[in-house]
Amino acid sequence: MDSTKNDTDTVVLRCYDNKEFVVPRKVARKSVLISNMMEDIPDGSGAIPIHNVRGLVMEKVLEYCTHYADTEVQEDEGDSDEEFDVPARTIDIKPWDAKFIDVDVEMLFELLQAANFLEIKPLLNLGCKTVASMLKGRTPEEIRKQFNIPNDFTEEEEEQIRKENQWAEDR
Amino acid sequence: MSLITELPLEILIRIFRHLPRASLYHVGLTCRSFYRVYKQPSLWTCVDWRPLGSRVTDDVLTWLSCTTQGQLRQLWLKDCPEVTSTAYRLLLEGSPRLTYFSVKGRHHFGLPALFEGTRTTWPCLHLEVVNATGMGDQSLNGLVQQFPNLQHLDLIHCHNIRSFQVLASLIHLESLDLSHNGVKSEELNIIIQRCSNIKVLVLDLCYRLEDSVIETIAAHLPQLRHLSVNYCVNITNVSVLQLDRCPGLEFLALRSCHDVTEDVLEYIASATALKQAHTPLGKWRFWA
Repeated sequence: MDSTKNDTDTVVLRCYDNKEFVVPRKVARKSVLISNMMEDIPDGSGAIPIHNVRGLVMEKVLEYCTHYADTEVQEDEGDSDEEFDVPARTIDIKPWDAKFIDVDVEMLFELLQAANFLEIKPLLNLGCKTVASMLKGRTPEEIRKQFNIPNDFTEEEEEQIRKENQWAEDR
Repeated sequence: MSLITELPLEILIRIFRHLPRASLYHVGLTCRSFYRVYKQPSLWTCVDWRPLGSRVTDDVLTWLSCTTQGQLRQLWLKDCPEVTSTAYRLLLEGSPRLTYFSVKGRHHFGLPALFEGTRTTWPCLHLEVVNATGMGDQSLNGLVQQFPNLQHLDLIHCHNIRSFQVLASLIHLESLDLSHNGVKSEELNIIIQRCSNIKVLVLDLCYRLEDSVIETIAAHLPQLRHLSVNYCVNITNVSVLQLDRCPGLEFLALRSCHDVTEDVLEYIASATALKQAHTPLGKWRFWA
Protein backbone atom coordinates (compact mmCIF):
# COMPACT_ATOMS: atom_id res chain seq x y z
CA MET A 1 0.00 0.00 0.00
CA ASP A 2 1.41 3.36 -1.02
CA SER A 3 -0.13 5.37 1.76
CA THR A 4 2.47 8.17 1.60
CA LYS A 5 1.35 9.06 -1.88
CA ASN A 6 -2.31 8.98 -0.87
CA ASP A 7 -1.66 11.34 2.01
CA THR A 8 -0.31 14.03 -0.30
CA ASP A 9 -3.29 13.63 -2.57
CA THR A 10 -6.37 15.75 -2.23
CA VAL A 11 -10.05 15.02 -2.33
CA VAL A 12 -12.96 17.27 -3.30
CA LEU A 13 -15.90 17.65 -0.92
CA ARG A 14 -19.13 19.22 -2.11
CA CYS A 15 -21.60 20.61 0.42
CA TYR A 16 -25.33 20.81 -0.20
CA ASP A 17 -25.11 24.50 -1.03
CA ASN A 18 -22.67 23.45 -3.81
CA LYS A 19 -19.67 24.97 -2.08
CA GLU A 20 -16.64 22.80 -2.86
CA PHE A 21 -13.49 22.23 -0.85
CA VAL A 22 -10.23 20.74 -2.06
CA VAL A 23 -8.84 19.00 0.99
CA PRO A 24 -5.71 16.93 1.67
CA ARG A 25 -6.73 13.33 2.22
CA LYS A 26 -5.18 13.19 5.66
CA VAL A 27 -7.38 16.14 6.71
CA ALA A 28 -10.49 14.53 5.22
CA ARG A 29 -9.67 11.28 7.01
CA LYS A 30 -10.36 12.96 10.37
CA SER A 31 -13.98 12.28 9.50
CA VAL A 32 -14.80 8.58 9.81
CA LEU A 33 -17.68 9.05 7.38
CA ILE A 34 -15.58 10.71 4.66
CA SER A 35 -12.77 8.25 5.30
CA ASN A 36 -15.15 5.36 4.61
CA MET A 37 -16.55 7.11 1.55
CA MET A 38 -13.04 7.65 0.16
CA GLU A 39 -12.44 3.92 0.42
CA ASP A 40 -15.71 3.04 -1.26
CA ILE A 41 -15.60 5.63 -4.05
CA PRO A 42 -12.87 5.00 -6.61
CA ASP A 43 -10.28 7.73 -7.22
CA GLY A 44 -11.16 10.23 -9.89
CA SER A 45 -14.91 9.76 -9.65
CA GLY A 46 -15.45 13.39 -8.73
CA ALA A 47 -16.46 15.27 -5.62
CA ILE A 48 -17.71 13.52 -2.49
CA PRO A 49 -21.17 14.86 -1.69
CA ILE A 50 -21.73 16.02 1.89
CA HIS A 51 -25.47 16.53 1.95
CA ASN A 52 -26.07 17.54 5.53
CA VAL A 53 -23.51 20.31 5.99
CA ARG A 54 -23.50 23.81 4.52
CA GLY A 55 -20.35 25.46 3.21
CA LEU A 56 -19.87 27.92 6.05
CA VAL A 57 -20.00 25.16 8.66
CA MET A 58 -17.79 22.85 6.58
CA GLU A 59 -15.16 25.57 6.44
CA LYS A 60 -15.09 25.65 10.23
CA VAL A 61 -15.03 21.85 10.45
CA LEU A 62 -12.09 21.74 8.06
CA GLU A 63 -10.24 24.34 10.12
CA TYR A 64 -10.46 21.90 13.03
CA CYS A 65 -9.45 18.88 10.96
CA THR A 66 -6.48 20.74 9.46
CA HIS A 67 -5.24 21.79 12.89
CA TYR A 68 -5.35 18.19 14.10
CA ALA A 69 -4.35 16.57 10.79
CA ASP A 70 -1.10 15.25 12.23
CA THR A 71 -2.43 14.42 15.69
CA GLU A 72 -3.46 10.89 16.47
CA VAL A 73 -6.94 10.75 17.96
CA GLN A 74 -6.63 10.02 21.64
CA GLU A 75 -9.54 9.29 23.86
CA ASP A 76 -9.65 11.73 26.74
CA GLU A 77 -10.90 10.26 29.97
CA GLY A 78 -14.66 10.41 30.02
CA ASP A 79 -14.90 11.16 26.31
CA SER A 80 -15.59 7.57 25.54
CA ASP A 81 -19.22 6.70 25.04
CA GLU A 82 -18.77 3.15 26.24
CA GLU A 83 -21.67 2.26 28.46
CA PHE A 84 -19.33 1.01 31.14
CA ASP A 85 -17.62 4.30 31.70
CA VAL A 86 -18.40 6.56 34.57
CA PRO A 87 -19.83 9.72 33.01
CA ALA A 88 -17.41 12.60 32.70
CA ARG A 89 -18.07 15.17 35.40
CA THR A 90 -15.31 17.65 34.68
CA ILE A 91 -15.15 20.00 31.73
CA ASP A 92 -11.63 20.54 30.50
CA ILE A 93 -11.00 22.37 27.20
CA LYS A 94 -7.57 23.00 25.63
CA PRO A 95 -6.65 26.64 24.79
CA TRP A 96 -6.65 26.24 20.98
CA ASP A 97 -9.95 24.37 21.18
CA ALA A 98 -11.49 27.07 23.37
CA LYS A 99 -10.57 29.76 20.84
CA PHE A 100 -11.77 27.65 17.93
CA ILE A 101 -15.14 26.90 19.53
CA ASP A 102 -15.77 30.53 20.54
CA VAL A 103 -18.58 30.97 17.99
CA ASP A 104 -22.22 32.02 18.17
CA VAL A 105 -24.75 29.52 19.43
CA GLU A 106 -26.21 28.86 15.99
CA MET A 107 -22.79 27.92 14.57
CA LEU A 108 -22.05 25.85 17.67
CA PHE A 109 -25.20 23.77 17.21
CA GLU A 110 -24.51 23.33 13.51
CA LEU A 111 -20.93 22.27 14.26
CA LEU A 112 -22.26 19.71 16.73
CA GLN A 113 -24.59 18.23 14.15
CA ALA A 114 -21.89 18.27 11.46
CA ALA A 115 -19.39 16.55 13.77
CA ASN A 116 -22.02 13.96 14.65
CA PHE A 117 -22.94 13.34 11.00
CA LEU A 118 -19.33 13.30 9.77
CA GLU A 119 -18.23 11.19 12.74
CA ILE A 120 -15.46 13.47 14.02
CA LYS A 121 -15.57 12.39 17.61
CA PRO A 122 -13.06 14.84 19.15
CA LEU A 123 -14.94 17.77 17.60
CA LEU A 124 -18.26 16.35 18.75
CA ASN A 125 -16.88 16.02 22.27
CA LEU A 126 -15.50 19.55 22.18
CA GLY A 127 -18.89 20.91 21.14
CA CYS A 128 -20.69 18.90 23.83
CA LYS A 129 -18.29 20.06 26.54
CA THR A 130 -18.76 23.64 25.39
CA VAL A 131 -22.54 23.47 25.60
CA ALA A 132 -22.27 21.64 28.95
CA SER A 133 -20.12 24.44 30.35
CA MET A 134 -22.84 26.90 29.32
CA LEU A 135 -25.41 24.88 31.28
CA LYS A 136 -23.33 24.00 34.31
CA GLY A 137 -24.08 25.75 37.59
CA ARG A 138 -27.11 27.65 36.23
CA THR A 139 -30.62 27.73 37.61
CA PRO A 140 -33.44 26.50 35.36
CA GLU A 141 -34.58 30.13 34.92
CA GLU A 142 -31.10 31.24 33.81
CA ILE A 143 -30.91 28.38 31.33
CA ARG A 144 -34.31 29.23 29.85
CA LYS A 145 -33.27 32.84 29.42
CA GLN A 146 -29.89 32.07 27.88
CA PHE A 147 -31.18 29.53 25.36
CA ASN A 148 -34.59 31.07 24.80
CA ILE A 149 -36.48 28.01 26.05
CA PRO A 150 -40.12 28.48 27.06
CA ASN A 151 -41.16 26.82 30.30
CA ASP A 152 -43.81 24.37 29.10
CA PHE A 153 -44.41 22.64 32.45
CA THR A 154 -47.70 23.15 34.23
CA GLU A 155 -47.34 24.25 37.82
CA GLU A 156 -48.46 20.83 39.04
CA GLU A 157 -45.94 19.05 36.81
CA GLU A 158 -43.12 21.23 38.01
CA GLU A 159 -44.06 20.69 41.62
CA GLN A 160 -44.27 16.92 41.09
CA ILE A 161 -40.80 16.84 39.49
CA ARG A 162 -39.32 18.92 42.30
CA LYS A 163 -40.85 16.57 44.85
CA GLU A 164 -39.50 13.44 43.15
CA ASN A 165 -36.04 14.90 42.69
CA GLN A 166 -35.40 16.69 45.97
CA TRP A 167 -32.41 14.44 46.59
CA ALA A 168 -30.68 15.75 43.47
CA GLU A 169 -30.19 19.27 44.82
CA ASP A 170 -26.80 20.20 46.24
CA ARG A 171 -26.94 21.03 49.91
CA MET B 1 -31.89 25.85 13.92
CA SER B 2 -30.88 27.82 16.91
CA LEU B 3 -32.94 26.12 19.61
CA ILE B 4 -30.90 23.86 21.84
CA THR B 5 -33.96 21.71 22.46
CA GLU B 6 -34.02 20.80 18.78
CA LEU B 7 -30.63 19.09 18.86
CA PRO B 8 -30.86 15.33 18.28
CA LEU B 9 -31.35 13.24 21.42
CA GLU B 10 -27.99 11.46 21.03
CA ILE B 11 -26.14 14.81 21.07
CA LEU B 12 -28.14 16.09 24.05
CA ILE B 13 -27.27 12.93 25.98
CA ARG B 14 -23.59 13.46 25.18
CA ILE B 15 -23.84 17.06 26.45
CA PHE B 16 -25.68 16.07 29.61
CA ARG B 17 -23.08 13.43 30.43
CA HIS B 18 -20.67 16.25 31.28
CA LEU B 19 -22.93 17.73 33.95
CA PRO B 20 -22.68 17.07 37.68
CA ARG B 21 -25.79 15.81 39.48
CA ALA B 22 -27.36 19.10 40.58
CA SER B 23 -26.70 20.84 37.25
CA LEU B 24 -28.14 17.90 35.38
CA TYR B 25 -31.29 18.15 37.47
CA HIS B 26 -31.59 21.91 36.89
CA VAL B 27 -31.30 21.38 33.16
CA GLY B 28 -34.05 18.76 33.42
CA LEU B 29 -36.24 21.31 35.19
CA THR B 30 -36.12 23.85 32.37
CA CYS B 31 -38.68 22.26 30.04
CA ARG B 32 -40.43 19.04 29.11
CA SER B 33 -38.08 18.01 26.34
CA PHE B 34 -35.03 18.40 28.62
CA TYR B 35 -36.79 16.49 31.36
CA ARG B 36 -37.20 13.60 28.92
CA VAL B 37 -33.45 13.71 28.25
CA TYR B 38 -32.74 13.89 32.00
CA LYS B 39 -34.63 10.62 32.45
CA GLN B 40 -32.79 8.76 29.67
CA PRO B 41 -31.47 5.47 31.09
CA SER B 42 -28.10 5.95 29.39
CA LEU B 43 -27.41 8.94 31.67
CA TRP B 44 -27.88 6.68 34.69
CA THR B 45 -25.73 3.63 33.96
CA CYS B 46 -23.07 4.50 36.54
CA VAL B 47 -24.45 6.17 39.64
CA ASP B 48 -22.21 7.43 42.41
CA TRP B 49 -24.53 8.52 45.19
CA ARG B 50 -21.97 8.47 48.00
CA PRO B 51 -22.20 12.27 48.39
CA LEU B 52 -25.95 12.01 48.92
CA GLY B 53 -25.56 9.91 52.07
CA SER B 54 -28.81 9.43 53.95
CA ARG B 55 -30.78 11.36 51.36
CA VAL B 56 -30.90 8.05 49.51
CA THR B 57 -34.11 6.42 50.71
CA ASP B 58 -36.39 3.69 49.41
CA ASP B 59 -38.22 6.25 47.27
CA VAL B 60 -35.01 7.46 45.69
CA LEU B 61 -33.86 3.91 44.89
CA THR B 62 -37.27 3.20 43.39
CA TRP B 63 -36.91 6.35 41.26
CA LEU B 64 -33.55 4.98 40.09
CA SER B 65 -35.00 1.55 39.22
CA CYS B 66 -37.76 3.17 37.18
CA THR B 67 -35.43 5.60 35.42
CA THR B 68 -32.65 3.17 34.52
CA GLN B 69 -35.05 0.56 33.11
CA GLY B 70 -32.57 -2.23 33.62
CA GLN B 71 -29.56 -0.31 32.30
CA LEU B 72 -27.87 0.34 35.66
CA ARG B 73 -24.37 -1.11 35.72
CA GLN B 74 -22.57 0.50 38.63
CA LEU B 75 -23.91 1.88 41.90
CA TRP B 76 -22.14 3.43 44.90
CA LEU B 77 -23.98 4.21 48.13
CA LYS B 78 -22.70 5.43 51.47
CA ASP B 79 -24.34 5.96 54.86
CA CYS B 80 -27.96 5.50 53.87
CA PRO B 81 -29.35 3.53 56.84
CA GLU B 82 -32.99 4.06 55.91
CA VAL B 83 -32.89 1.93 52.80
CA THR B 84 -34.78 -1.31 53.44
CA SER B 85 -34.08 -4.77 52.10
CA THR B 86 -37.25 -4.50 50.01
CA ALA B 87 -35.88 -1.48 48.15
CA TYR B 88 -32.49 -3.16 47.61
CA ARG B 89 -34.23 -6.27 46.30
CA LEU B 90 -36.45 -4.29 43.90
CA LEU B 91 -33.39 -2.50 42.61
CA LEU B 92 -31.43 -5.73 42.07
CA GLU B 93 -34.42 -7.39 40.43
CA GLY B 94 -34.83 -4.44 38.09
CA SER B 95 -31.11 -4.20 37.27
CA PRO B 96 -30.00 -7.40 35.54
CA ARG B 97 -26.86 -5.63 34.25
CA LEU B 98 -25.69 -4.32 37.61
CA THR B 99 -22.19 -5.72 37.97
CA TYR B 100 -20.70 -3.25 40.44
CA PHE B 101 -22.45 -2.61 43.74
CA SER B 102 -20.83 -0.74 46.62
CA VAL B 103 -22.42 0.05 49.98
CA LYS B 104 -20.43 1.74 52.70
CA GLY B 105 -21.32 2.92 56.17
CA ARG B 106 -22.77 1.78 59.45
CA HIS B 107 -26.28 0.73 60.28
CA HIS B 108 -27.26 -0.64 56.92
CA PHE B 109 -29.93 -2.85 58.39
CA GLY B 110 -31.48 -3.30 54.97
CA LEU B 111 -28.37 -4.94 53.60
CA PRO B 112 -28.03 -7.90 56.00
CA ALA B 113 -31.78 -8.38 55.73
CA LEU B 114 -31.43 -8.50 51.95
CA PHE B 115 -28.74 -11.16 52.16
CA GLU B 116 -30.73 -13.23 54.62
CA GLY B 117 -34.11 -12.87 53.02
CA THR B 118 -33.95 -14.22 49.49
CA ARG B 119 -32.73 -17.22 47.56
CA THR B 120 -32.34 -15.39 44.28
CA THR B 121 -28.90 -15.13 42.68
CA TRP B 122 -27.70 -11.83 41.20
CA PRO B 123 -25.25 -11.46 38.34
CA CYS B 124 -23.22 -8.85 40.21
CA LEU B 125 -19.45 -9.38 39.88
CA HIS B 126 -18.11 -6.62 42.09
CA LEU B 127 -19.45 -6.12 45.60
CA GLU B 128 -18.18 -3.78 48.30
CA VAL B 129 -19.60 -3.85 51.81
CA VAL B 130 -17.85 -1.61 54.30
CA ASN B 131 -18.63 -1.05 57.97
CA ALA B 132 -21.89 -2.96 57.84
CA THR B 133 -22.16 -3.75 61.53
CA GLY B 134 -25.42 -5.57 60.95
CA MET B 135 -23.68 -8.25 58.89
CA GLY B 136 -23.45 -11.55 60.78
CA ASP B 137 -22.69 -15.13 59.83
CA GLN B 138 -26.19 -15.67 58.50
CA SER B 139 -26.01 -12.65 56.20
CA LEU B 140 -22.58 -13.72 54.96
CA ASN B 141 -24.01 -17.14 54.10
CA GLY B 142 -26.80 -15.44 52.20
CA LEU B 143 -24.36 -13.14 50.42
CA VAL B 144 -22.31 -16.07 49.15
CA GLN B 145 -25.43 -17.81 47.86
CA GLN B 146 -26.83 -14.72 46.18
CA PHE B 147 -23.63 -13.55 44.54
CA PRO B 148 -21.97 -16.83 43.48
CA ASN B 149 -20.10 -15.30 40.54
CA LEU B 150 -18.30 -12.52 42.41
CA GLN B 151 -14.90 -11.62 41.01
CA HIS B 152 -14.28 -8.80 43.46
CA LEU B 153 -15.38 -8.71 47.07
CA ASP B 154 -14.58 -6.11 49.69
CA LEU B 155 -15.93 -7.02 53.10
CA ILE B 156 -14.28 -4.50 55.36
CA HIS B 157 -14.79 -4.00 59.08
CA CYS B 158 -17.87 -6.18 59.42
CA HIS B 159 -16.98 -7.20 62.93
CA ASN B 160 -20.11 -9.14 63.74
CA ILE B 161 -19.14 -11.86 61.28
CA ARG B 162 -17.63 -14.75 63.26
CA SER B 163 -16.85 -17.18 60.47
CA PHE B 164 -15.60 -16.31 57.00
CA GLN B 165 -15.06 -19.83 55.73
CA VAL B 166 -18.12 -19.77 53.42
CA LEU B 167 -16.17 -17.39 51.20
CA ALA B 168 -14.23 -20.41 49.99
CA SER B 169 -17.11 -21.21 47.65
CA LEU B 170 -16.58 -17.96 45.70
CA ILE B 171 -14.12 -19.65 43.38
CA HIS B 172 -14.24 -16.90 40.74
CA LEU B 173 -12.75 -14.31 43.08
CA GLU B 174 -9.86 -12.35 41.63
CA SER B 175 -9.77 -9.64 44.24
CA LEU B 176 -10.58 -9.98 47.95
CA ASP B 177 -10.35 -7.41 50.73
CA LEU B 178 -11.16 -8.59 54.25
CA SER B 179 -9.42 -5.76 56.08
CA HIS B 180 -10.21 -4.97 59.66
CA ASN B 181 -11.87 -8.26 60.49
CA GLY B 182 -11.02 -10.91 63.05
CA VAL B 183 -10.79 -13.56 60.35
CA LYS B 184 -8.90 -16.65 61.55
CA SER B 185 -5.80 -18.06 59.86
CA GLU B 186 -7.32 -21.52 59.35
CA GLU B 187 -10.28 -19.97 57.55
CA LEU B 188 -8.09 -17.83 55.34
CA ASN B 189 -6.00 -20.87 54.43
CA ILE B 190 -9.08 -22.72 53.22
CA ILE B 191 -10.35 -19.69 51.27
CA ILE B 192 -6.98 -19.16 49.59
CA GLN B 193 -6.65 -22.84 48.65
CA ARG B 194 -10.05 -22.84 46.96
CA CYS B 195 -9.96 -19.40 45.33
CA SER B 196 -6.76 -19.79 43.36
CA ASN B 197 -7.62 -17.04 40.85
CA ILE B 198 -6.99 -14.33 43.41
CA LYS B 199 -4.65 -11.66 42.10
CA VAL B 200 -5.33 -8.94 44.62
CA LEU B 201 -5.51 -9.75 48.34
CA VAL B 202 -5.86 -7.15 51.08
CA LEU B 203 -5.84 -8.28 54.72
CA ASP B 204 -4.84 -5.11 56.56
CA LEU B 205 -5.52 -5.16 60.31
CA CYS B 206 -6.47 -8.84 60.33
CA TYR B 207 -4.80 -9.20 63.69
CA ARG B 208 -5.20 -13.01 63.88
CA LEU B 209 -3.28 -13.58 60.67
CA GLU B 210 -0.19 -15.79 61.08
CA ASP B 211 2.72 -17.02 58.98
CA SER B 212 0.71 -20.01 57.79
CA VAL B 213 -1.49 -17.70 55.70
CA ILE B 214 1.45 -16.18 53.85
CA GLU B 215 2.77 -19.69 53.25
CA THR B 216 -0.59 -20.77 51.81
CA ILE B 217 -0.62 -17.66 49.61
CA ALA B 218 2.84 -18.48 48.30
CA ALA B 219 1.84 -22.06 47.57
CA HIS B 220 -1.61 -21.48 46.05
CA LEU B 221 -1.77 -18.04 44.45
CA PRO B 222 0.76 -18.14 41.60
CA GLN B 223 -1.02 -15.24 39.87
CA LEU B 224 -0.86 -12.90 42.87
CA ARG B 225 -0.04 -9.29 41.93
CA HIS B 226 -0.99 -7.29 44.99
CA LEU B 227 -0.69 -8.30 48.64
CA SER B 228 -1.36 -6.01 51.56
CA VAL B 229 -1.01 -7.24 55.16
CA ASN B 230 -0.38 -3.95 56.95
CA TYR B 231 -0.55 -4.24 60.75
CA CYS B 232 -0.64 -8.05 60.68
CA VAL B 233 2.01 -8.06 63.36
CA ASN B 234 2.45 -11.84 63.68
CA ILE B 235 4.01 -12.22 60.24
CA THR B 236 7.74 -13.01 60.13
CA ASN B 237 10.59 -13.42 57.64
CA VAL B 238 10.00 -17.18 57.58
CA SER B 239 6.81 -16.92 55.53
CA VAL B 240 7.54 -13.71 53.63
CA LEU B 241 10.66 -15.35 52.12
CA GLN B 242 8.36 -17.86 50.42
CA LEU B 243 6.65 -15.13 48.39
CA ASP B 244 9.41 -15.67 45.82
CA ARG B 245 6.98 -18.29 44.48
CA CYS B 246 4.70 -15.50 43.23
CA PRO B 247 6.68 -14.20 40.24
CA GLY B 248 4.01 -11.66 39.24
CA LEU B 249 3.93 -9.91 42.61
CA GLU B 250 4.09 -6.14 41.98
CA PHE B 251 2.86 -4.66 45.24
CA LEU B 252 3.55 -5.68 48.82
CA ALA B 253 2.50 -3.79 51.94
CA LEU B 254 3.91 -4.83 55.32
CA ARG B 255 3.52 -1.73 57.42
CA SER B 256 4.17 -2.41 61.12
CA CYS B 257 5.07 -6.06 60.45
CA HIS B 258 8.17 -5.50 62.57
CA ASP B 259 9.41 -9.08 62.40
CA VAL B 260 10.02 -8.69 58.68
CA THR B 261 13.41 -7.23 57.76
CA GLU B 262 14.49 -5.00 54.89
CA ASP B 263 16.89 -7.58 53.43
CA VAL B 264 14.03 -10.06 53.00
CA LEU B 265 12.01 -7.38 51.23
CA GLU B 266 15.03 -6.74 49.01
CA TYR B 267 15.27 -10.46 48.21
CA ILE B 268 11.56 -10.64 47.27
CA ALA B 269 12.01 -7.61 45.01
CA SER B 270 14.85 -9.42 43.21
CA ALA B 271 12.86 -12.65 42.86
CA THR B 272 9.52 -11.18 41.74
CA ALA B 273 8.13 -8.33 39.63
CA LEU B 274 7.90 -6.14 42.74
CA LYS B 275 7.63 -2.43 41.89
CA GLN B 276 6.36 -0.92 45.10
CA ALA B 277 6.35 -1.84 48.77
CA HIS B 278 5.22 -0.37 52.03
CA THR B 279 7.98 -1.29 54.48
CA PRO B 280 7.53 -2.41 58.10
CA LEU B 281 8.73 1.04 59.14
CA GLY B 282 5.97 2.66 57.12
CA LYS B 283 8.13 3.95 54.28
CA TRP B 284 7.48 3.52 50.56
CA ARG B 285 10.05 1.66 48.46
CA PHE B 286 10.09 1.61 44.67
CA TRP B 287 11.98 -0.62 42.26
CA ALA B 288 12.47 0.13 38.60
